[in-house]
Amino acid sequence: MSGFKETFTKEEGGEKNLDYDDSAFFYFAAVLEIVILLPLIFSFIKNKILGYEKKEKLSLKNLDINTHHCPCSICAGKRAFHITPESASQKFGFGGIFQLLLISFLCYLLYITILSISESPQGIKRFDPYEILGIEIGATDKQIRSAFREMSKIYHPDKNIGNNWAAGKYLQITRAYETLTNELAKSNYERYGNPDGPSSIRFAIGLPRFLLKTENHISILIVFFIIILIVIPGSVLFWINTSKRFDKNGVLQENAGLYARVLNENLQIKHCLFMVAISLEFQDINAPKSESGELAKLRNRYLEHIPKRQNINPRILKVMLLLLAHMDRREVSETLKKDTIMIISKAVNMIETMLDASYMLNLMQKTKKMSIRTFTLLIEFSQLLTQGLMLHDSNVLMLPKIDESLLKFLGNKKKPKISELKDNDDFKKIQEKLSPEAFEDFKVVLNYLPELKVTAEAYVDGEEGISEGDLVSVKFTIERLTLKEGQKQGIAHSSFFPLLRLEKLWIILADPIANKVYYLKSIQSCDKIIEDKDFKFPIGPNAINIGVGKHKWEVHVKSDCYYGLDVVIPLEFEVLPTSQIKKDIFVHPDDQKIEKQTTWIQQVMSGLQAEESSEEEMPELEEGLESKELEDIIDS
Amino acid sequence: MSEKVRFLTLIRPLMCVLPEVSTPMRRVQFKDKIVWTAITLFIFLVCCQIPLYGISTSSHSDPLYWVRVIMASNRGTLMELGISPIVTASMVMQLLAGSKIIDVDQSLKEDRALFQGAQKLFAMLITIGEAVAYVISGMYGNISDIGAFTSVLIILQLFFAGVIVIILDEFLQKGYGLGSGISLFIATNICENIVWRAFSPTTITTGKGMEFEGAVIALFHLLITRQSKVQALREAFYRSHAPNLMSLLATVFIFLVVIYFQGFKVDLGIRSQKVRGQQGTYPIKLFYTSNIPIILQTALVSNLYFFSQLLYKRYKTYFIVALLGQWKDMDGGYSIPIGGIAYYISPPRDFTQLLGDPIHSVVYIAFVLLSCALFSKTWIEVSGSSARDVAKQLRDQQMVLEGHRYDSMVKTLNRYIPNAAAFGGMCIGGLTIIADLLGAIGSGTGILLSVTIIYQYFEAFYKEKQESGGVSLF
Repeated sequence: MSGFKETFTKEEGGEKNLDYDDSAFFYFAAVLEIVILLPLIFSFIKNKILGYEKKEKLSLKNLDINTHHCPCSICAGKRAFHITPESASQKFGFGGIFQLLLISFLCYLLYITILSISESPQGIKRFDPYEILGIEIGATDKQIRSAFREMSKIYHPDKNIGNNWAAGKYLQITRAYETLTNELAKSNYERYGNPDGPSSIRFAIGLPRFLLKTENHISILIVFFIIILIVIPGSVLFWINTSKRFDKNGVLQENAGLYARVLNENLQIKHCLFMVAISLEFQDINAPKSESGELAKLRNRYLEHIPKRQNINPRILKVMLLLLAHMDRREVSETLKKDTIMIISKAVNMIETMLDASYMLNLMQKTKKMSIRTFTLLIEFSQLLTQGLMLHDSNVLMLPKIDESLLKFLGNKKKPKISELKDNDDFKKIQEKLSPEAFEDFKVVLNYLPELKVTAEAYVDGEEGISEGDLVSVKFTIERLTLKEGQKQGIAHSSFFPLLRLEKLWIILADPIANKVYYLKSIQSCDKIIEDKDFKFPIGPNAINIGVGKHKWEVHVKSDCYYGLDVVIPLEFEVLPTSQIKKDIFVHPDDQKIEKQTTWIQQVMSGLQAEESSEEEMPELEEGLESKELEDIIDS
Repeated sequence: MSEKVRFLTLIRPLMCVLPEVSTPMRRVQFKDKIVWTAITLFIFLVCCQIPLYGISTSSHSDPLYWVRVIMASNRGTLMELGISPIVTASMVMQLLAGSKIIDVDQSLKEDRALFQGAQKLFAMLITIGEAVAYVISGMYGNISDIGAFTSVLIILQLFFAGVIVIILDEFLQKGYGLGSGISLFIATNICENIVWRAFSPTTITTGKGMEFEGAVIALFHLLITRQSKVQALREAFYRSHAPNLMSLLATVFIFLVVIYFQGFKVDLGIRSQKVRGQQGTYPIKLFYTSNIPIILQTALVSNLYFFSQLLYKRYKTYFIVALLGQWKDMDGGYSIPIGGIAYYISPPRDFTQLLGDPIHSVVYIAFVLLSCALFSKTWIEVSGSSARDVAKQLRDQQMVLEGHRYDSMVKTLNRYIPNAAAFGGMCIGGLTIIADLLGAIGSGTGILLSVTIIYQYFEAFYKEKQESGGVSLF
């Protein structure tokens, strides 16, 4: 049996290179093609035609039937528009078409190779005694004998005098008969294909012959080097570059560094706008140099939110202004609207990256300190973008058909809140003002908006009480009260967000007195009850040093879609001094002895120690030393 | 004892001349790790194909063919020595440290560095030693033929190739890549072997006609060319002169079985006494000693073969020598045992031999199972992973076993560890026997090695993926 090396690196001059064999190459190529084709076709049929795409990621496409979507007319219309049954081209996508092309190309190649196989000459006629005698393989001796007798009756030279062909045939028949009846000859035939024993064996390689021709050598070498030195490193580099660029939120990775420079303790909404605007994704947005028309008007309107500097990049300015216009629910022209949709749909992901970046900064604690407000404001910014609201707007505006004029009509209070809406007479006033259909919409959304019940508990796993030096776990439980048992939360309600959004819940655990965030986590889940037990923190001078006594921390649970519906609950726990907690360190007497005992190896070795120096000699064989040593040990 | 000079301090002055890979400044990204691993592998594969300069090609029999696969070595190339110097050095050092002959405090950073330095130095010395031994033994032609200068040149080539392997291994282990160089090279070598057997384009033309060497290619070729399809299938599955489909399927089967067994483990809950609330698990795998028993067993058997063969050639007539082993030369340049102890501990070649000589079979199976179990149990004592050592480790970290707070830790662990080691060793031995009997490609030992290595890679992959997934804390 030859290995790869032996086959291809025969010495020049000495032994001749192995023969290359075109017809064998066709077989080789055909099998390789089949081996590649079969799994390709299988995966193609499975994924694209039968639709077994991976369903691990929660996405809009694979929400199941038992999902509670927002029932209002706006959301229903949006769903109808976005969740359409996929057309064939959508379903296949770019990858699918590529796969299909690859499959058809390989099929074509296979067809050509098979054609070539059938055209290429068959090898030398081999000696098959069964075929000559016209019997089946595994025939009994009796059958062989009778077949031989029948054949020899026809071809015997005595009966065909002067017929050379028959004489040759008769020779073959006798030889076949001898081969099958003689034990040695039969085994020789089975092993070597020759009843006389091993005949000459010829080796060759199933590769096309033109590779061997001297005039082709240079071009073959060139192709080889191009593949080794350019194609392979190139494709690896390409793969690294493309796969590295986006983080887990689908945002360009370089952005995080930009955000980190802007993020600070006293974050304001204008900083948030600015961070979105400087994102690298919007680098090639086209912005007019001269400020005129719509953008200039917008600029004058939102002067307080944009940087005072005169020479601000028009691109950044444009993004900020469009975001503001969206939050202010201001109509813009068609061309600007297209940009707005693109910006907003990316901005919500960028906010997640900003949150991750501030959490990382918060952990490092060296460069910048992040306050609780940094985190809450960023999440609120996401809420505002989703609902099309300015900061401090009334959250009643999230409900459909409600606008500023209607709020003015309510009049009595400046900023009504959703939580208070059901209890006072605003509700009746709205009913009077709106048409019955609009009021129906208003009502269903009011009931659809999430109502969360949050509990949090701090404890030491498997022990009682919390003391200094312990590892404390915190368990958060969030229950969606609006959902029935077994129901799933559907797509978030939003009258102004251009796309469909699934709600994400953020948990923030913070100490309000130290103004410090200890834990941030985003959860994307549609379930009614959500649990999070991942947070564990040690109390001590080298970890979270909060000292003995009672502590009151805050747990914020914020949805990234709805404004002003956040839940804040206190998390109270008491850290006891170490002296009050009984720490029973018990060591079993057997375990105590461990250190004093010597292992039996040591006992054996202490005897050998004197001769130890000679042991460091070179072993003349792989692993010779240790196995010998082991044998020594076992012997003694 | 205190006045005794510590072995490790002797290494210190040499540390500055040893080549060293500096530890990465920060955690290497997972994708970068993959790239570095690929580059390392590429360098290794290139070294595997570069022939040594100055050797005269010899058609001598290859006395080391049985370790080539495990040692990732390639005859006549820069990788002639493969990873054998590193493996030997690390095993010997671990043995010395585990049996407390040299005293290493693994909790001290300096001691660890010195220990690794010593290991590297040792590996380099072994490289030179092996290179000299190879040249002198005439593996590359008679020394008088090739001349002193070329001999030195060959030794130098082998030495520098050995240093490259040592550095590549260290490079991967320091965290630039995945896993260790040793396991990467072994796994690659074995996988290359298997793929070659399955898809080799080499053709063999005999009186029976042309045939492909690669098992899968031969199947298609035979199915197309032979008139009788049943015969073609039979030929493709059972032919004996070239890799057949049966052995390919056996390889796959053994792969799956080993992967299945890899997951067998007992998770013992542990809990800290120092930091309340901190807990974890201490997994005790069925394959507690991994493939060590089979490596040791192979080493033992092959050394025995080596000496027996040597003795038999010169002192055929002595009874003791004949009892140790009688040998018959085969035309492939190797000899097979036909009698004596060597015969009874050599694997039966196929099922007919297995049934034809039941005494041989029984003795062989019993020998492999027992020796593997024994080696496994010995290894845990030697390498510092016995119940006592584990108990000591846990106690140093002030950990107790969940639910056994007031029991003796040694006793509790003793209920699991020696059993797991012995039974796991037997399982490994049994699997090797089955693999060899079914004719799995790349020998049972090779498959076991590569599966355990690939499985480790898979685990590392999975872990890395999880870690890089979310924002981790503290």
